[in-house]
Formats: sequence, structure tokens, C-alpha cells
Amino acid sequence: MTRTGRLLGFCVAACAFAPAASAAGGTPILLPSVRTTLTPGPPLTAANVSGEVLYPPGMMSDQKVLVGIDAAGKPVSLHVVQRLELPKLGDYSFTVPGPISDVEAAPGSDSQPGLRRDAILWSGFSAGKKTLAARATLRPGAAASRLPLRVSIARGGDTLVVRGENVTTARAPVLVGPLSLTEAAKALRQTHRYLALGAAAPDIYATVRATPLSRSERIVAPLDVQGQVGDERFHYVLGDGRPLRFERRVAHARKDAKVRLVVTPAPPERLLQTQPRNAERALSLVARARLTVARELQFHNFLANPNPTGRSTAAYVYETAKRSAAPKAVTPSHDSDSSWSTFLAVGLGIVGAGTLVVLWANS
Amino acid sequence: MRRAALLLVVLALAGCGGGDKKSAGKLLIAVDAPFSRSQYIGQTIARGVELAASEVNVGGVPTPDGNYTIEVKRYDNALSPRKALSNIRRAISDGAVAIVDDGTGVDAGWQAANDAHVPIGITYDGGGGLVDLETRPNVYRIAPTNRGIAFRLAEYTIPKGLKLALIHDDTTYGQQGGASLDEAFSRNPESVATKLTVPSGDSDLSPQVLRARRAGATALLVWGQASTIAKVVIAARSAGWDVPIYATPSAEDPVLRQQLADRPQWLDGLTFATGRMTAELGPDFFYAFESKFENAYGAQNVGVRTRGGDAVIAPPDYAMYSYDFVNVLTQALKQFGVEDLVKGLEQVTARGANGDERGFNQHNHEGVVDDDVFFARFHDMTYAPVADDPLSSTLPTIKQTR
Repeated sequence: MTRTGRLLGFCVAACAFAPAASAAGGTPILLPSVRTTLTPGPPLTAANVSGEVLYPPGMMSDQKVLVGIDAAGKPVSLHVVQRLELPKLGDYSFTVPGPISDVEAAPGSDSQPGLRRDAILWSGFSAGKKTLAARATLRPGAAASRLPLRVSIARGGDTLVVRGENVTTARAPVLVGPLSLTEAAKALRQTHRYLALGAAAPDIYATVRATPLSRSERIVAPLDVQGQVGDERFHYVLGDGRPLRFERRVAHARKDAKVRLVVTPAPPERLLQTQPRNAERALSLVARARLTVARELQFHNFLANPNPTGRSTAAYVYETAKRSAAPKAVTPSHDSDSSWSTFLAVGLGIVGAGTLVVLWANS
Repeated sequence: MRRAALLLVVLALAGCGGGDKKSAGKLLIAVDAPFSRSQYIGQTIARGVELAASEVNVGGVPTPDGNYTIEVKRYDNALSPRKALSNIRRAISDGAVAIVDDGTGVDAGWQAANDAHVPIGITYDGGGGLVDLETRPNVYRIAPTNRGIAFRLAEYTIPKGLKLALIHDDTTYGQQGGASLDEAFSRNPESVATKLTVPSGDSDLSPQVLRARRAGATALLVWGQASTIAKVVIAARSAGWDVPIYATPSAEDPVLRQQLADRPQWLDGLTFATGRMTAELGPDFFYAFESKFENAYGAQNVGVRTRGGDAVIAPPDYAMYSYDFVNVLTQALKQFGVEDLVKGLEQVTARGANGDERGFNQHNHEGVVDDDVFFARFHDMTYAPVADDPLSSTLPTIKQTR
């Protein structure tokens, strides 16, 4: 059973066992949480990363995902600068997983990160306020599939065509059933009001007259895209009732013109301000809105914030970069030395043994 | 005759393979420590290793190559790097899978161990340069680093507005500590009144302490053997100078309290930096470890008493580090086996004796982070965490009397 399936089961179970189930006029149900994680999507994970998870309360994450793209728009390098703010006193010890090949302290860090296989390791003590900032190098092949925007760049004559597609879509079970328009409007208002709390937003209940069903729907995190090609700037919002793609044609673009796109997951303002007009569709509207908020929050955690209810923000910066040369296969020098010396020893041994046998036979 | 000679040559060639690391279902851990010259340090390190080994051996170590038990062998380096190098070579020849070292033999012996793919775990000396990820990939450490201690001392003393006399003795420990202090105080030269190197062999340090006083020092920071700290305390207090004195983890050594046993009030107020014994989870883990340690070896008597007549004991905090190293090593053996042990140590953790996670990683072979240094102050021959440091103020006082 998937996580979202379990979530739906939990919501339906909440319907059945809600304390005021017998209250006149309906049953309170738990609406989808804004902490729902849909798949596929971030945060990045890694196999076999375990260990202690300990941090002072209130840890927050802010990250900048730096995506180097080639002349066609394909990601060729991926770095993440993650700043974790520890606002209180206490020990901390945790790992941040992902396909991480290297890590170093970023400017402003009060401590040095460690590197485990596919994880950043933080461990120490916060005397009341501490910043843990790391610049991680990721293997783009493994991590690029979790990026929110697919970019393609083409050139026709002196015109540069930049296309972007919001690829945050994931399927999720949406509650379906009747809900009073007042209840729906109230739930949307509360969800909007709690946006500032991020993943710490409290759960919301709604009272329904009949046990809801579920339907699998596509959920998309809206993206705010600020672009720049040479001197030309542009802005799009992809999703939240708007198209999921854009195409920008930049005439007379220089051959070496750099493309820069700053992508920020945005809350579904339009969806949250929709006035429910049909009671039969009101519950699915609210559920879809809350799952969209969840999807947006999910993309603010490209690298995980170990504090699941801590505030997290992320911006994705796509910038044309030179394709780096394929790394050479690295073999630890002592290993190769030892294998050569083993070869040599075996070879000499065979020759020596042969000589000894000949000598012995002729003696 | 000729045939016999040739047979001998063949047999000699056959015996050139070196020690087998996995003989008869046993894995050897070598302990290279100064058992004859500094018995407290040597015993502490070895007992930590032996205690961990005895626990691990209950179920054995299931490695990818089979199930093994751990055997521990002691090698006395007598604080001599040359002796330590010889020990490390012997240990490799004996088939050791890992070497636990106080630090004495690392500069001289890491290369020999690295050539044999044998990791070295330092569990006492915090000297900078002993551990170097790039040039010494097989060297790991679970002990507070000199760098961490020096920076924490600077962080603690500078805001007090003191003019410090930085004193270190001429031992390797003192000289390395002096270098770390220079680095830590380099951005605040106004906090340093003078820097002095004192001979560890001298019986009286009054002239040096007088120089510090004349240089305008309002506090003394001593980095040296416990006997050096004792001599500085005696020189200052016997001259009637009630100056605050700060010191390093060597102040925990029973020798300091033994040398001040007839004037216990002179020790009161001496503050030293050392690795924390307890984690945020509380003192229970450490007490459990201490209890196991005492059941196996008895309490570590300091040899002095409080004013109330209670016998003072030394908590086995440095034994905890060697105990933890063996447990991390065991996890690496379980997952990566003997052949990949040097790299495998970077990928595992183990629950430490104080409840903390212990482990290393690909960027850091230090198992004690610089933050994990706290300050303790002596009173009545025992010490307790200070209240004017954010970390220390959160720590409980470990019972030190019986």
C-alpha cells in the first residue's frame, strides 16, 4: 500500500471514529494533511543511511538548488547549498540523505559537515543559535529526475527558444463526496491562513453528511519562474489553473547568451481563493487544494529537513554551464600498487620456481 | 646439501606472506600505550578495549567472511615513538586487524600500518596533525582534539576580559597544545599577556610564574602534563597569587590531585576543559558504562580524599573512548569485513558509552566533535561542570566519591 493510500485510509478511519461522529448533521473527517508526501518527488533519499536523529526544536531549512544545464537545457551538474538554522540550545546529530558525492561547509556555517556514503552528516552542540550550512555536490543522473522544471533550449537562426515544463505532477487520492459550501469555504480559508506555518500547519477537520470516497487525481505544485536570457527578463507561473508549460523566444540572442531561470514552488493562491459553488464537488476541491499545498511544501525540501514540521524553503536556479568532462575512473593508488606488486611477485615466483626445478633436475 | 638449501629457500619464500589477520577464528586488536611510563593512561586505554572486546565476544563478530571473536594484546611504547613503531610492526606481524594507540606511535607508525591496511584508532592524544584524512587515511581518533579544546578555551576565557599567560611544557603534548593555543588566540592577541614554555622536568616553576605575573597576566592557562599543572599551581599559590588557573584534560590525571593532596584548597577553582562524559540523553548511559567498568576492573582510585573523608575516584572517561572505538570497529567488521576495514570505518556508527552516536565519515576521521568539550571546576578534590558556559551548564555532575 502506498503512503498516499495509507493516508486516505487514515482519513476514512478518522471519519469512522471521530469523536463527534454522532453529532447532529454529520461526521467530522480529517482533511488531507499538508505534510503528505507524494511519489515521485523530493526529498532525496539514499539506501542504507541510518543513525541517530537528534536536533533542538525549531530547526529550519533554506536551500538553493543550483542546476547547471547544457546548451540543450539538460542538467549536467547539480549542487545544493542548504542552510539549517538551529534556534535553540541542544545537541544535534543527524544525516541528510541523497546521491551526494561531495560536501563542504558553505559560507556562514558554524560547523563543518561530514560526508558519509550518500549522506551529509551533522553532529555537535548548539549553544543557543547555530547555522549549519553545506554546499553539496550531487550526482545529476540520480537527482535530476526530482527537479520541478524540465528545461529545453533550441536555437533557430539567431532566435533562442527556451521551453520549460512543470514536472511536479503526481497522482494522489482525493476525497470525493458532498460537503456544505460553508464548511468548504471555511476549510479553504483556514488552509490559506496557515500557509505561513508551512509544514507546521495544524490539521483541519470538516463535517460531512456521508462517508467520502476517493478518486485518484493529478496534483501539481505551482511554480513561479523568473527567467533571464541575456538582457531579456520574463516571468511565468506554471500551474494553479495556468498552463504547465511556457515557451520563450528570444530574438537576436547572442551565441554565448546565458539562460538563467529561478524557480520557486508557490502556494496555489487561485485554488485556495476559489469560491465553492457546488456542494457535491466541494470536498474534492478542498482536498485537492490541501494536497497541492502539500506538493508545494514537498518541493521546498529537495534535500530533506530532518525536522518534519520545521519551516523549509527552496529555490531552484537553472543556469547554462559548460558540460564537465566525464570523471576518470578512480582506483585507490595503493590498491593498484598492491595488485601490480602481486602480479610481479606471482610472476617472479613462477619464474623462480621453474629455475629451481631446472637446477634441481640438473644437479 | 644443495637440494636441502633449495628446499629451505622455497620454504622461506612460502613464509613471506606476513601474519594472517583471521587466524583460528580470532581477530587481534593491538593496544599500543605507555603502560610503563604513564600507567593511568595505558591502563585506561587498554581496559576500555578489553571491556568492549569481552562484550563483543559474547556473540562474536559475524563478518562477511565468518564469525570471529576478538583478542586483545598489549604493547608498551613507554612514551617512545621509536618503541611504538617497533610495536606497530610487531602487531602487524602478529596479524592485528586494528591498533588502538594513545597517540605516541602514530607519527612514526601510521605508514607501516597503512601499508598493511590496518587502521589505527587514537583514543587519548588530541594533537593536530596526528589525524589527516588525505595523507593518513588509516588513522582515526575518538578523543577531544587539541584544536577543539583550544578554541573552546578561547571562547570561554576571552569574554571574561582576562589577560592570559599561555603556558605549555616542553613535552610533545605541551608543545602541540601550545601551537593549538597560538592558533585559537591569534585573532585576540589583546587577551594574551605572555606565552611561556616551561621545562617539564623542573621541580620549581616559580621564576616562570613570576614572569607571567610581571607581564600583567590576570589568569594562567596551562597546557602540559598533570605534574606541570601541579607545579604551576604550587608556584602561584605559594607566592600568595590567587590568580584564576585554566588547564586541559590532563588535569583529570590523578597525579595533579596527588601532588596537591596536602594543600587541597590550592586546587579549588582550577577550571579545565575536557571531553563531555554525558550526552543530552542524561548520565544514565555513562553510569551504566562506569558500573560495567568497575565490575570488571574496580574503581580508579585517585588516592586522595574529600574533606568529608570520602575516597575520590576518577571516572573512566578516557576508557570510554577506546571502548567506543572497538564498538565502531566491530560494526565496520560486521559490514565490511577485515579487508575493507580502513574504508569501512567511515561508513558506520555505534552507540557510544555515553549514549552519543560514535562514528566517522569520508570527510572526518575525528569521532569527537569540537563542540563536545566542556569545562569543569575543581572543588574539594572533585570537579563539576561550570555554570557559566552554555554546554557545561546543561551537563550533570558525575559522582566521584565512594
